[in-house]
Amino acid sequence: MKLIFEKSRPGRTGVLPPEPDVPEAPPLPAGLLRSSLDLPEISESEAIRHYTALSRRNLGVDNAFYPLGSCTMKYNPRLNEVLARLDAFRNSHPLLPASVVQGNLQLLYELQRVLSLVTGLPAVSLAPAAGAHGELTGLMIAKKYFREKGEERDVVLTPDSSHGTNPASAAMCGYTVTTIPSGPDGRLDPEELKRRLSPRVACLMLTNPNTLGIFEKDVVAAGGLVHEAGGLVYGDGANANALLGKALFSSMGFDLVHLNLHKTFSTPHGGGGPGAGALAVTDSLAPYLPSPVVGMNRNGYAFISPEKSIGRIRTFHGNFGVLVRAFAYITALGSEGLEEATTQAVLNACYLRKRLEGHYHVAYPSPSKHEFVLDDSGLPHGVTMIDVAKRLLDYGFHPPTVAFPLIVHGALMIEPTETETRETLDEFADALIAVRREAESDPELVKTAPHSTPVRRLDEVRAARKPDLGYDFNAVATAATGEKGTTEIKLIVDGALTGAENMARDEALLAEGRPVVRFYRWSPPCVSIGYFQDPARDIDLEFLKRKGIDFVRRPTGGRAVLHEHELTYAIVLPGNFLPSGIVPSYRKIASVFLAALAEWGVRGELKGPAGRPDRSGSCFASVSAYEITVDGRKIIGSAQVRRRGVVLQHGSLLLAVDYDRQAACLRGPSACTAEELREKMTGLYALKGEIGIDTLVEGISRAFESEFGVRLTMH
Amino acid sequence: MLRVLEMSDPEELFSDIGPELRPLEPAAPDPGLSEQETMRRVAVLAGRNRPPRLSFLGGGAYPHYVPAAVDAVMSRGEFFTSYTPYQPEVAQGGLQALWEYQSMIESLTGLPAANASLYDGAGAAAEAMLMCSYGRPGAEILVSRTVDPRLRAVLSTYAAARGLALKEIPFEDGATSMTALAGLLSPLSAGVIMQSPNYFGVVEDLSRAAVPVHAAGAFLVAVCTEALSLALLKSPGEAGADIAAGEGASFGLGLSYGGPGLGVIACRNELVRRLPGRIVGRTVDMEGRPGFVLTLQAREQHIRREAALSNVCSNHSLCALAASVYLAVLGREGLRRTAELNYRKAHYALEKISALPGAPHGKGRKFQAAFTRPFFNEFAIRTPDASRLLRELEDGGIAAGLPLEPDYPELKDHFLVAVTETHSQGDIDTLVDALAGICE
Repeated sequence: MKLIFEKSRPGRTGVLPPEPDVPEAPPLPAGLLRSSLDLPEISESEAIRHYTALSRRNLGVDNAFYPLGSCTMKYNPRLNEVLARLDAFRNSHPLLPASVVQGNLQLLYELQRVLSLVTGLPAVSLAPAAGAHGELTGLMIAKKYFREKGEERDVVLTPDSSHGTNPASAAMCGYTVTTIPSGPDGRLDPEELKRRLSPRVACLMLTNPNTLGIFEKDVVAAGGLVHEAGGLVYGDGANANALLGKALFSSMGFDLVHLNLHKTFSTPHGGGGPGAGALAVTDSLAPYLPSPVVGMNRNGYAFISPEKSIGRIRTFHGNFGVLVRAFAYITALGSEGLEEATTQAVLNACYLRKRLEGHYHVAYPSPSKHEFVLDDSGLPHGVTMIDVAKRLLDYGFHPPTVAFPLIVHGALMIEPTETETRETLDEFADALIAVRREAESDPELVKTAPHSTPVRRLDEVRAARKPDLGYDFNAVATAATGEKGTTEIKLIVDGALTGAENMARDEALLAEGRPVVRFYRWSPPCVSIGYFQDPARDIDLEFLKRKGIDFVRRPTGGRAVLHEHELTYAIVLPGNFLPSGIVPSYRKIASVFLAALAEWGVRGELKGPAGRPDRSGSCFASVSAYEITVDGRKIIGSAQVRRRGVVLQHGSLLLAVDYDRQAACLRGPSACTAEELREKMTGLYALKGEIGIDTLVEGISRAFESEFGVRLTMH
Repeated sequence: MLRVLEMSDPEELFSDIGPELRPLEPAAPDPGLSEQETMRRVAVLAGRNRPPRLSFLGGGAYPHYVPAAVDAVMSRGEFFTSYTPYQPEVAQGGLQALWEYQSMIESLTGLPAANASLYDGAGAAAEAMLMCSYGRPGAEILVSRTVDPRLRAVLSTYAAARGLALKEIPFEDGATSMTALAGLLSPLSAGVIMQSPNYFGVVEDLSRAAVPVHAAGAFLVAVCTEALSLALLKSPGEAGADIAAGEGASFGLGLSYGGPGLGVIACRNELVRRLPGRIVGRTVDMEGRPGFVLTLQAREQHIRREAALSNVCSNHSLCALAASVYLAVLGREGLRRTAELNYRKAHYALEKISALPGAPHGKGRKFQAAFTRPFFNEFAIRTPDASRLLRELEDGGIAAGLPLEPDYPELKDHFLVAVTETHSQGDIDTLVDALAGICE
């Protein structure tokens, strides 16, 4: 799909502000002003169409079952959206005096109280923006708590099944992380814990149910051990959806716990956020909560700063808009509703697990709570769990979490949530079972999935190796000035034209001298000869005439070639794009095609067949050291010309070769037989089957971009 | 379903949770409500707010008009009910929108690598501080005293946890003192954090600061809490900043009582592998079609665990989407004009206010611009007994500004006034009249 910047046209406007109603002000000093502003220039209707089109290439809970393990992708009630947008909430400035925002403050106060009830822990901060932020806040509290007690505790313990944020938050807070291996049943092993406890341990970070969806039965004992050693127990509440009304974090021995309001309390995930990671703590840690929390004084609700607070962790008070949604959700469900949600979430998970047992291997046999994890044991024909997940996309489902937790080989982590019907669960189970059968009967189908999505598997290695993190507005300017930055180069893709037309276009591009990559084909088929060749001597013009084959002279050097089943390119580059010297410049461009061939699974080489250079007049029968061969047979021929420092290189990627016709075109000293040509040239289709022209163009273009560090823009 | 599980009571699903762990109280204080009742209950709370009829509060949160298109796009379930795009094949829409957002932020900040959002301005500033100090234990970070006091508070919370030393650069006439900066810089300095426009609304001369900062081997972090100013001001990148960090809520988010905001961060290419959070990259699929993925994930917590440079997992993607729709529908011209309107109206307001005559016999209240430096859409005013004045105006339904004294004891009797495109000339005149009324 086109980028919004590619839809932009100079001078076009969308929504404009009112005309000024006050006199002009003296301008800012020029040294403080920006020189230019590059943003899209499009109409409102085009913008809406653009984003609507983008939305159609995106999948949410509203579109499909989204059983992403550990993420609790439940339905997001629409009422909550309406309430968060109430003017009185949305337009309130965060620094208004408490007296005029009593509604906001009461809502926050009541939400603090409900989350305290849910966790059993008396004090709550609504400031953290996300689960990881709640963890960081909790660990900062632990740090200050121990510092004030005069204890040097610098170690955080966490099981190997924990969320990656746990160790990352600990490290960010300056702790050393020690990992505890999980026991054979997937649970925390108290013996392993005991072995790692010491007076240096500040905190055990534990998720319950853990990321395998298994309830940590020994949580109380483990907490007791940590407390005996003088440490604190931190609860990652990401999986609280399994516990509402069933178990209290306080009773389980947790001193601190964060709740992901965007998971358990149904605030939407927003494509990655915003969420909210409320933190609940014991009485003894309450004085350390971040500032501010909502309390009451004689004038009503007010922000107060806890006595020994770690300080501020947000610009303002938290993700208020998200908190309103969570408050509305809890208000609507009430105590019974919350407990029912948990029951249904666990029932849905256990039912789905039951349906899949026998088709997939469940990683750990212990009873599941709100989610469960399958592993890849028994998957046939080298099909991986990632393949299975990708294939689910073709069935219209968002796949479960893959490759996590890290302790399970080929993990597929399934969390259906309570808002799904039995029918949906059955459809999903049927799909997973069907994929399993496909893995047996047609493994390639699964390994190459998805097949029906707007794009197929993406090249993540390439994305990371050559990060392309944004549009280059200055491409044209930098191309002209030769400045650093991604240069934009014109890409032209023409259809099949006559020989004369094709060469005229290339001549014009060469004369213009701007960098350009052009792809084209030929109709009718055409023999082109090198700039220095003699047609009367090297070409059988009679044969050409008889067969309706066109004839043209190229501006570039090299020898004769019949253009029939091939993709032809013309690359025009000012000399500064290429290394100096003719061979290095050929080699640089050759690297593009080698990379593209490799993408299609063809191993091209940059050397010709052994033996003396061929003196044949056929372009393809002769191989220079800088041309591309596959198994000793040439697949791409090329030729250059230079004018005023600008290089034009022509080349043909052979798709299929009619050796007889190719041979029949040549005569005189150039002549050679079809058999000889068969030894010396080959076509891509003979190696890889038919590949669409668009795919070829795209592949070469991407390779060009990557080899030259530029961006090709279609014209 | 229970029957399939060979159970008769759903309680059996929880048989592994001991009775001693069960709550004694219900999970919520009240029974559930219907949708209609829930609506009413929450709307009643909203109704308890008594917003002022006219507000000139800024201080890091600026009222701006949000075009209708922004909400229209944000309300699409395909966007707001999706999650982090772990499966790029079915998340191309969100990924492309985020990549376009990164592109717009790169353009506005003049820096080539932006991420796909952080929590808020303070979070972004804190992450920028950690980027500077990476690999330099015991390093110092210099923070200008003109940086938003709430941001400075967050910086010191993060610095305390990480064992970083913060030093404050004093100000002169409302802007960071270049002499003091030069004096404080040392080989220990890993980063210098300045804000422009600063907390007083003053546009800082980042270009001037960049030279000594770089000479000392430190990175310059340019913080901004009024993102709209970027439409007019020299970009942080142009000015020589290595990292730009700040609050993007001005781009279409609304005030929402301060959250969710939009943490904006961008940096030079050399620092991209230290950039926290999600980053979207452009690549190709197996058929060579262009597409987008989360990239450089080797930096992140889910791969690196304790070796990750940041713990960020959830970000504020939907806010980034809102910002990109805002920037797209206003576009180059709309954003420039909006920024100019802010500039013009704020200058009109300052001129009117400082022209108010004091009462005769020298007993009346005079209003004076606190600083002489260039400003964008916010400025500081000095007047005797400012706090009482603000309280009195508040009673009349006008939030005239924010007192500076609580955060800057040295700026007793100073208050901040923010003026944006949402204020008509009439609104500004009402403020001026109200101030004048108290003069009499």
